Amino acid sequence: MHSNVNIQNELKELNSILATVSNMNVYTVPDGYFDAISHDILMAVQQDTPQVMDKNSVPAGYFDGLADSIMGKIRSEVAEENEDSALLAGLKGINVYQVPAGYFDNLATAIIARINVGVDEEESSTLLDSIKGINVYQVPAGYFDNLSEAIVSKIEKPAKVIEMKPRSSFFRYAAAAAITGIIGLSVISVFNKRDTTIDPSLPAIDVMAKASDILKNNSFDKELSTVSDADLVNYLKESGEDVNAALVASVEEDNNLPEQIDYMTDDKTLDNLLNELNIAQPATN
Amino acid sequence: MKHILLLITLLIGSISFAHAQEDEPDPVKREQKIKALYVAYVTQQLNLNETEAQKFWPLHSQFDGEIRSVDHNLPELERQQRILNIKKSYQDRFAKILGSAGRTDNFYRVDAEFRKKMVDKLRQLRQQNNRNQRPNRRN
Repeated sequence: MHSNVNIQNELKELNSILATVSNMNVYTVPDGYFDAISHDILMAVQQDTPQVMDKNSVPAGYFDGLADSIMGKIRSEVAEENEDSALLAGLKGINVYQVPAGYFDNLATAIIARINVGVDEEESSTLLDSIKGINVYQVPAGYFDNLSEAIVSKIEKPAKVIEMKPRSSFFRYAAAAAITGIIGLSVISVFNKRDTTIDPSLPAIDVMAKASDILKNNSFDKELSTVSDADLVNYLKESGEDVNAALVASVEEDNNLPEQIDYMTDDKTLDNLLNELNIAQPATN
Repeated sequence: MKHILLLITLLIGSISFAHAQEDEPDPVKREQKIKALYVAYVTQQLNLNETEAQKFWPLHSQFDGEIRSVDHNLPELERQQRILNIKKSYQDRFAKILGSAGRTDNFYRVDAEFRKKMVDKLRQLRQQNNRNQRPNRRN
Protein backbone atom coordinates (compact mmCIF):
# COMPACT_ATOMS: atom_id res chain seq x y z
CA MET A 1 0.00 0.00 0.00
CA HIS A 2 1.26 3.47 -0.88
CA SER A 3 1.51 5.86 1.99
CA ASN A 4 0.06 9.16 1.26
CA VAL A 5 1.00 12.10 3.41
CA ASN A 6 -2.22 13.89 2.84
CA ILE A 7 -4.28 10.87 3.67
CA GLN A 8 -2.20 10.21 6.78
CA ASN A 9 -2.63 13.77 7.93
CA GLU A 10 -6.31 13.63 7.35
CA LEU A 11 -6.53 10.35 9.20
CA LYS A 12 -4.60 11.82 12.10
CA GLU A 13 -7.17 14.59 12.34
CA LEU A 14 -10.00 12.11 12.36
CA ASN A 15 -8.50 9.40 14.54
CA SER A 16 -5.00 9.76 15.95
CA ILE A 17 -4.87 6.17 17.28
CA LEU A 18 -5.74 4.63 13.96
CA ALA A 19 -3.12 6.76 12.31
CA THR A 20 -0.41 5.21 14.42
CA VAL A 21 -1.22 1.70 13.24
CA SER A 22 1.22 0.72 10.61
CA ASN A 23 -0.15 -0.41 7.34
CA MET A 24 0.69 -4.06 7.59
CA ASN A 25 -1.58 -7.09 7.24
CA VAL A 26 -2.72 -8.03 10.69
CA TYR A 27 -4.88 -10.95 9.55
CA THR A 28 -2.12 -13.38 8.94
CA VAL A 29 -2.45 -17.11 9.66
CA PRO A 30 0.32 -19.66 10.16
CA ASP A 31 1.57 -21.51 7.08
CA GLY A 32 -0.58 -24.48 6.09
CA TYR A 33 -3.42 -23.24 8.37
CA PHE A 34 -6.06 -23.85 5.78
CA ASP A 35 -4.70 -27.26 4.77
CA ALA A 36 -5.77 -28.92 7.97
CA ILE A 37 -8.64 -26.63 8.94
CA SER A 38 -11.53 -28.76 7.61
CA HIS A 39 -10.16 -31.76 9.41
CA ASP A 40 -9.69 -29.84 12.61
CA ILE A 41 -13.25 -28.48 12.47
CA LEU A 42 -14.77 -31.90 11.91
CA MET A 43 -12.77 -33.29 14.78
CA ALA A 44 -13.88 -30.46 17.05
CA VAL A 45 -17.53 -31.04 16.15
CA GLN A 46 -17.29 -34.75 16.84
CA GLN A 47 -15.68 -34.07 20.22
CA ASP A 48 -18.19 -31.34 21.29
CA THR A 49 -21.47 -33.18 20.50
CA PRO A 50 -21.60 -35.41 23.66
CA GLN A 51 -20.82 -32.39 25.79
CA VAL A 52 -23.84 -30.51 24.42
CA MET A 53 -26.15 -33.48 25.12
CA ASP A 54 -24.88 -33.58 28.67
CA LYS A 55 -25.73 -29.90 29.22
CA ASN A 56 -29.41 -30.56 28.46
CA SER A 57 -29.66 -33.46 30.81
CA VAL A 58 -31.09 -33.05 34.33
CA PRO A 59 -30.08 -34.78 37.56
CA ALA A 60 -31.97 -37.97 38.36
CA GLY A 61 -35.22 -37.28 40.31
CA TYR A 62 -35.08 -33.60 39.22
CA PHE A 63 -38.81 -33.47 38.25
CA ASP A 64 -40.03 -35.30 41.34
CA GLY A 65 -39.98 -32.28 43.64
CA LEU A 66 -40.10 -29.60 40.96
CA ALA A 67 -43.85 -28.68 41.21
CA ASP A 68 -43.73 -28.46 44.98
CA SER A 69 -40.66 -26.33 44.95
CA ILE A 70 -42.18 -23.95 42.35
CA MET A 71 -45.47 -23.62 44.24
CA GLY A 72 -43.51 -23.10 47.47
CA LYS A 73 -41.57 -20.27 45.83
CA ILE A 74 -44.75 -18.70 44.45
CA ARG A 75 -46.58 -18.92 47.77
CA SER A 76 -43.76 -17.44 49.65
CA GLU A 77 -43.54 -14.51 47.23
CA VAL A 78 -47.36 -14.01 47.13
CA ALA A 79 -47.53 -14.06 50.91
CA GLU A 80 -44.92 -11.33 50.99
CA GLU A 81 -46.89 -9.20 48.54
CA ASN A 82 -50.27 -9.77 50.27
CA GLU A 83 -49.01 -8.63 53.54
CA ASP A 84 -49.19 -5.06 52.19
CA SER A 85 -52.98 -5.15 51.21
CA ALA A 86 -55.43 -5.07 54.15
CA LEU A 87 -58.43 -5.67 51.91
CA LEU A 88 -56.92 -8.68 50.29
CA ALA A 89 -55.62 -9.83 53.63
CA GLY A 90 -59.21 -10.00 54.88
CA LEU A 91 -60.16 -12.15 51.97
CA LYS A 92 -57.19 -14.33 52.29
CA GLY A 93 -58.16 -17.93 52.17
CA ILE A 94 -61.84 -17.19 51.60
CA ASN A 95 -63.57 -18.32 48.42
CA VAL A 96 -65.32 -15.14 47.36
CA TYR A 97 -67.07 -16.81 44.49
CA GLN A 98 -69.22 -19.01 46.57
CA VAL A 99 -73.07 -19.02 46.46
CA PRO A 100 -75.58 -20.25 49.01
CA ALA A 101 -76.44 -23.88 48.90
CA GLY A 102 -79.09 -24.63 46.24
CA TYR A 103 -78.60 -21.18 44.74
CA PHE A 104 -78.83 -22.35 41.17
CA ASP A 105 -81.78 -24.61 41.87
CA ASN A 106 -84.23 -21.72 42.07
CA LEU A 107 -82.29 -19.17 40.07
CA ALA A 108 -84.35 -19.41 36.85
CA THR A 109 -87.62 -19.16 38.73
CA ALA A 110 -86.34 -16.23 40.74
CA ILE A 111 -85.22 -14.36 37.59
CA ILE A 112 -88.53 -14.93 35.84
CA ALA A 113 -90.37 -13.80 38.98
CA ARG A 114 -88.32 -10.61 39.11
CA ILE A 115 -88.93 -9.94 35.41
CA ASN A 116 -92.66 -10.44 35.90
CA VAL A 117 -92.71 -8.03 38.81
CA GLY A 118 -90.94 -5.40 36.69
CA VAL A 119 -93.34 -5.92 33.79
CA ASP A 120 -96.34 -5.59 36.09
CA GLU A 121 -95.04 -2.32 37.42
CA GLU A 122 -94.45 -0.88 33.96
CA GLU A 123 -97.71 -1.97 32.40
CA SER A 124 -99.97 -0.44 34.96
CA SER A 125 -102.10 1.49 32.39
CA THR A 126 -105.83 1.00 32.83
CA LEU A 127 -106.28 0.16 29.19
CA LEU A 128 -103.85 -2.67 29.33
CA ASP A 129 -105.10 -3.71 32.76
CA SER A 130 -108.54 -4.23 31.32
CA ILE A 131 -107.25 -6.68 28.81
CA LYS A 132 -104.81 -8.24 31.16
CA GLY A 133 -104.79 -11.91 30.75
CA ILE A 134 -107.06 -11.77 27.74
CA ASN A 135 -105.84 -12.92 24.40
CA VAL A 136 -106.62 -9.90 22.34
CA TYR A 137 -105.57 -11.58 19.19
CA GLN A 138 -108.35 -14.04 19.15
CA VAL A 139 -111.00 -14.10 16.44
CA PRO A 140 -114.42 -15.68 16.37
CA ALA A 141 -114.55 -19.30 15.46
CA GLY A 142 -114.47 -19.76 11.71
CA TYR A 143 -113.41 -16.17 11.17
CA PHE A 144 -110.89 -16.99 8.51
CA ASP A 145 -113.20 -19.40 6.74
CA ASN A 146 -115.23 -16.60 5.18
CA LEU A 147 -112.71 -13.79 5.48
CA SER A 148 -111.54 -13.71 1.86
CA GLU A 149 -115.09 -13.77 0.57
CA ALA A 150 -116.09 -10.98 2.91
CA ILE A 151 -113.17 -8.84 1.80
CA VAL A 152 -113.79 -9.49 -1.86
CA SER A 153 -117.47 -8.71 -1.46
CA LYS A 154 -116.61 -5.39 0.19
CA ILE A 155 -114.06 -4.47 -2.45
CA GLU A 156 -116.27 -5.38 -5.35
CA LYS A 157 -119.24 -3.53 -4.01
CA PRO A 158 -119.98 -1.40 -7.05
CA ALA A 159 -120.09 2.37 -6.64
CA LYS A 160 -123.42 4.01 -7.11
CA VAL A 161 -123.74 4.39 -10.82
CA ILE A 162 -125.62 7.40 -12.03
CA GLU A 163 -126.90 6.47 -15.36
CA MET A 164 -126.51 9.05 -18.05
CA LYS A 165 -129.36 8.63 -20.39
CA PRO A 166 -128.14 8.91 -23.89
CA ARG A 167 -129.36 12.23 -25.09
CA SER A 168 -130.83 12.23 -28.46
CA SER A 169 -129.07 14.38 -31.00
CA PHE A 170 -132.29 16.35 -31.36
CA PHE A 171 -131.90 17.79 -27.87
CA ARG A 172 -128.29 18.61 -28.54
CA TYR A 173 -129.21 20.48 -31.69
CA ALA A 174 -132.11 22.14 -29.93
CA ALA A 175 -129.80 23.31 -27.14
CA ALA A 176 -127.27 24.63 -29.64
CA ALA A 177 -130.01 26.35 -31.59
CA ALA A 178 -131.41 27.90 -28.41
CA ILE A 179 -128.02 29.23 -27.36
CA THR A 180 -127.22 30.63 -30.77
CA GLY A 181 -130.71 32.04 -31.00
CA ILE A 182 -130.22 33.88 -27.73
CA ILE A 183 -126.91 35.24 -29.00
CA GLY A 184 -128.52 36.31 -32.25
CA LEU A 185 -131.46 37.97 -30.54
CA SER A 186 -129.20 39.81 -28.13
CA VAL A 187 -127.15 41.09 -31.08
CA ILE A 188 -130.34 42.28 -32.78
CA SER A 189 -131.61 43.93 -29.63
CA VAL A 190 -128.28 45.71 -29.16
CA PHE A 191 -128.41 47.04 -32.72
CA ASN A 192 -132.03 48.06 -32.38
CA LYS A 193 -131.37 49.82 -29.13
CA ARG A 194 -128.50 51.70 -30.65
CA ASP A 195 -130.67 52.84 -33.54
CA THR A 196 -133.54 54.00 -31.38
CA THR A 197 -131.32 55.85 -28.95
CA ILE A 198 -130.34 58.31 -31.66
CA ASP A 199 -132.10 61.58 -31.07
CA PRO A 200 -134.33 61.97 -34.11
CA SER A 201 -134.04 65.74 -33.94
CA LEU A 202 -130.32 65.57 -34.65
CA PRO A 203 -128.95 64.60 -38.02
CA ALA A 204 -127.96 61.00 -37.41
CA ILE A 205 -124.33 60.20 -37.98
CA ASP A 206 -125.47 57.33 -40.19
CA VAL A 207 -127.41 59.71 -42.40
CA MET A 208 -124.49 62.07 -42.81
CA ALA A 209 -122.11 59.20 -43.51
CA LYS A 210 -124.43 57.74 -46.11
CA ALA A 211 -124.96 61.15 -47.71
CA SER A 212 -121.20 61.55 -47.88
CA ASP A 213 -120.94 58.17 -49.59
CA ILE A 214 -123.63 59.08 -52.09
CA LEU A 215 -121.84 62.30 -52.98
CA LYS A 216 -118.48 60.59 -53.20
CA ASN A 217 -119.75 57.78 -55.40
CA ASN A 218 -122.19 60.00 -57.31
CA SER A 219 -124.73 57.27 -56.67
CA PHE A 220 -127.82 59.41 -56.11
CA ASP A 221 -129.89 57.79 -58.87
CA LYS A 222 -128.74 54.32 -57.97
CA GLU A 223 -129.72 54.77 -54.33
CA LEU A 224 -133.00 56.39 -55.31
CA SER A 225 -133.90 53.36 -57.46
CA THR A 226 -133.77 51.14 -54.36
CA VAL A 227 -136.30 53.23 -52.44
CA SER A 228 -139.68 51.60 -52.11
CA ASP A 229 -143.20 53.01 -52.60
CA ALA A 230 -144.01 52.81 -48.92
CA ASP A 231 -140.79 54.56 -47.92
CA LEU A 232 -141.52 57.43 -50.29
CA VAL A 233 -145.11 57.77 -49.07
CA ASN A 234 -143.91 57.78 -45.47
CA TYR A 235 -141.25 60.34 -46.14
CA LEU A 236 -143.58 62.66 -48.06
CA LYS A 237 -146.29 62.43 -45.42
CA GLU A 238 -143.75 63.16 -42.70
CA SER A 239 -142.59 66.17 -44.67
CA GLY A 240 -146.16 67.49 -44.68
CA GLU A 241 -146.86 66.62 -48.30
CA ASP A 242 -150.32 65.70 -49.61
CA VAL A 243 -149.12 62.61 -51.44
CA ASN A 244 -152.11 62.12 -53.75
CA ALA A 245 -152.32 65.77 -54.73
CA ALA A 246 -148.61 65.80 -55.30
CA LEU A 247 -148.89 62.71 -57.50
CA VAL A 248 -151.54 64.27 -59.68
CA ALA A 249 -149.51 67.43 -59.87
CA SER A 250 -146.54 65.35 -60.85
CA VAL A 251 -148.45 63.76 -63.71
CA GLU A 252 -149.62 67.15 -64.85
CA GLU A 253 -146.15 68.65 -64.80
CA ASP A 254 -144.78 65.69 -66.63
CA ASN A 255 -147.25 66.33 -69.45
CA ASN A 256 -148.34 62.85 -68.83
CA LEU A 257 -152.01 63.61 -68.49
CA PRO A 258 -154.34 61.85 -70.89
CA GLU A 259 -155.20 63.73 -74.06
CA GLN A 260 -158.69 65.13 -74.45
CA ILE A 261 -159.47 62.47 -77.02
CA ASP A 262 -158.67 59.74 -74.52
CA TYR A 263 -161.51 60.89 -72.28
CA MET A 264 -163.89 60.70 -75.27
CA THR A 265 -162.87 57.25 -76.39
CA ASP A 266 -162.71 55.75 -72.94
CA ASP A 267 -164.87 57.09 -70.11
CA LYS A 268 -162.66 55.30 -67.66
CA THR A 269 -159.59 57.24 -68.66
CA LEU A 270 -159.60 59.29 -65.45
CA ASP A 271 -160.24 56.24 -63.33
CA ASN A 272 -157.43 54.51 -65.11
CA LEU A 273 -155.11 57.37 -64.41
CA LEU A 274 -156.06 57.47 -60.76
CA ASN A 275 -155.78 53.73 -60.55
CA GLU A 276 -152.42 53.97 -62.19
CA LEU A 277 -151.34 56.29 -59.43
CA ASN A 278 -153.06 54.16 -56.79
CA ILE A 279 -155.33 57.03 -55.94
CA ALA A 280 -158.65 55.22 -55.80
CA GLN A 281 -160.15 57.55 -53.26
CA PRO A 282 -158.50 60.92 -53.51
CA ALA A 283 -160.50 62.33 -50.64
CA THR A 284 -159.11 59.94 -48.09
CA ASN A 285 -155.80 61.59 -47.82
CA MET B 1 -115.32 17.41 -33.56
CA LYS B 2 -118.53 17.00 -35.39
CA HIS B 3 -120.38 18.84 -32.65
CA ILE B 4 -117.90 21.67 -32.63
CA LEU B 5 -118.32 22.08 -36.37
CA LEU B 6 -122.06 22.02 -35.93
CA LEU B 7 -121.89 24.65 -33.21
CA ILE B 8 -119.66 26.88 -35.31
CA THR B 9 -122.00 26.53 -38.25
CA LEU B 10 -124.98 27.42 -36.12
CA LEU B 11 -123.16 30.38 -34.61
CA ILE B 12 -122.18 31.77 -37.99
CA GLY B 13 -125.69 31.14 -39.21
CA SER B 14 -127.23 32.99 -36.31
CA ILE B 15 -124.87 35.93 -36.74
CA SER B 16 -125.65 36.24 -40.44
CA PHE B 17 -129.32 35.86 -39.54
CA ALA B 18 -128.93 38.71 -37.09
CA HIS B 19 -127.29 40.81 -39.79
CA ALA B 20 -130.04 39.94 -42.23
CA GLN B 21 -132.55 41.01 -39.62
CA GLU B 22 -130.65 44.25 -39.31
CA ASP B 23 -131.14 44.98 -43.02
CA GLU B 24 -134.69 43.72 -42.97
CA PRO B 25 -137.60 46.16 -42.87
CA ASP B 26 -136.42 48.67 -40.32
CA PRO B 27 -138.45 51.88 -40.70
CA VAL B 28 -135.72 53.97 -39.12
CA LYS B 29 -133.08 52.67 -41.52
CA ARG B 30 -135.27 53.05 -44.57
CA GLU B 31 -136.20 56.57 -43.61
CA GLN B 32 -132.53 57.31 -43.08
CA LYS B 33 -131.84 56.29 -46.67
CA ILE B 34 -134.16 58.96 -48.08
CA LYS B 35 -132.82 61.46 -45.59
CA ALA B 36 -129.31 60.67 -46.77
CA LEU B 37 -130.45 61.21 -50.34
CA TYR B 38 -131.89 64.55 -49.25
CA VAL B 39 -128.68 65.62 -47.51
CA ALA B 40 -126.62 64.59 -50.51
CA TYR B 41 -128.95 66.42 -52.91
CA VAL B 42 -129.06 69.66 -50.92
CA THR B 43 -125.32 69.63 -50.24
CA GLN B 44 -124.64 69.22 -53.94
CA GLN B 45 -127.18 71.76 -55.14
CA LEU B 46 -126.13 74.43 -52.64
CA ASN B 47 -122.44 73.62 -53.00
CA LEU B 48 -122.06 73.45 -49.24
CA ASN B 49 -118.48 73.29 -48.03
CA GLU B 50 -117.52 71.39 -44.92
CA THR B 51 -117.68 74.28 -42.46
CA GLU B 52 -121.04 75.40 -43.86
CA ALA B 53 -122.40 71.85 -43.67
CA GLN B 54 -121.25 71.49 -40.05
CA LYS B 55 -123.35 74.51 -39.09
CA PHE B 56 -126.14 74.07 -41.60
CA TRP B 57 -127.29 70.52 -40.89
CA PRO B 58 -127.81 70.87 -37.13
CA LEU B 59 -129.94 73.97 -37.80
CA HIS B 60 -131.73 72.14 -40.58
CA SER B 61 -132.45 69.29 -38.21
CA GLN B 62 -134.17 71.68 -35.86
CA PHE B 63 -136.05 73.22 -38.78
CA ASP B 64 -137.12 69.82 -40.07
CA GLY B 65 -138.38 68.86 -36.62
CA GLU B 66 -140.61 71.90 -36.49
CA ILE B 67 -142.01 71.30 -39.98
CA ARG B 68 -142.82 67.70 -39.07
CA SER B 69 -144.53 68.75 -35.87
CA VAL B 70 -147.21 70.64 -37.79
CA ASP B 71 -150.50 68.82 -37.34
CA HIS B 72 -151.42 66.90 -40.49
CA ASN B 73 -155.12 67.14 -39.72
CA LEU B 74 -155.23 70.91 -39.82
CA PRO B 75 -157.16 72.52 -42.68
CA GLU B 76 -154.87 72.46 -45.67
CA LEU B 77 -154.36 76.21 -45.95
CA GLU B 78 -153.82 76.54 -42.23
CA ARG B 79 -151.27 73.71 -42.39
CA GLN B 80 -149.45 75.31 -45.32
CA GLN B 81 -149.50 78.66 -43.53
CA ARG B 82 -147.84 77.20 -40.48
CA ILE B 83 -145.17 75.54 -42.60
CA LEU B 84 -144.58 78.79 -44.39
CA ASN B 85 -144.26 80.64 -41.08
CA ILE B 86 -141.63 78.17 -39.93
CA LYS B 87 -139.72 78.58 -43.17
CA LYS B 88 -139.82 82.36 -42.79
CA SER B 89 -138.69 82.20 -39.20
CA TYR B 90 -135.62 80.21 -40.21
CA GLN B 91 -134.76 82.40 -43.19
CA ASP B 92 -132.40 84.71 -41.31
CA ARG B 93 -130.65 81.93 -39.48
CA PHE B 94 -130.08 79.98 -42.70
CA ALA B 95 -128.86 83.18 -44.37
CA LYS B 96 -126.31 83.64 -41.59
CA ILE B 97 -124.81 80.25 -42.33
CA LEU B 98 -125.19 80.27 -46.10
CA GLY B 99 -123.91 83.84 -46.42
CA SER B 100 -126.66 85.38 -48.50
CA ALA B 101 -130.43 85.66 -48.77
CA GLY B 102 -130.17 84.39 -52.33
CA ARG B 103 -128.58 81.17 -51.22
CA THR B 104 -131.22 80.71 -48.55
CA ASP B 105 -133.88 81.24 -51.16
CA ASN B 106 -132.14 78.64 -53.20
CA PHE B 107 -132.24 76.22 -50.27
CA TYR B 108 -136.04 76.47 -50.03
CA ARG B 109 -136.23 75.85 -53.75
CA VAL B 110 -133.93 72.84 -53.61
CA ASP B 111 -135.84 71.53 -50.61
CA ALA B 112 -139.09 71.61 -52.60
CA GLU B 113 -137.34 70.14 -55.63
CA PHE B 114 -136.22 67.15 -53.67
CA ARG B 115 -139.74 66.42 -52.47
CA LYS B 116 -140.97 66.77 -56.04
CA LYS B 117 -138.30 64.31 -57.14
CA MET B 118 -139.59 61.88 -54.57
CA VAL B 119 -143.15 62.38 -55.76
CA ASP B 120 -142.00 61.80 -59.33
CA LYS B 121 -140.21 58.68 -58.25
CA LEU B 122 -143.34 57.45 -56.51
CA ARG B 123 -145.44 58.16 -59.59
CA GLN B 124 -142.98 56.32 -61.81
CA LEU B 125 -142.97 53.37 -59.48
CA ARG B 126 -146.74 53.15 -59.42
CA GLN B 127 -147.21 53.69 -63.16
CA GLN B 128 -144.61 51.08 -64.01
CA ASN B 129 -146.12 48.67 -61.58
CA ASN B 130 -149.67 49.19 -62.74
CA ARG B 131 -148.93 49.26 -66.48
CA ASN B 132 -147.34 45.89 -66.10
CA GLN B 133 -150.42 44.63 -64.37
CA ARG B 134 -153.11 46.45 -66.39
CA PRO B 135 -153.58 43.90 -69.21
CA ASN B 136 -154.45 41.28 -66.63
CA ARG B 137 -156.83 43.61 -64.87
CA ARG B 138 -158.68 44.59 -68.02
CA ASN B 139 -159.15 41.03 -69.12
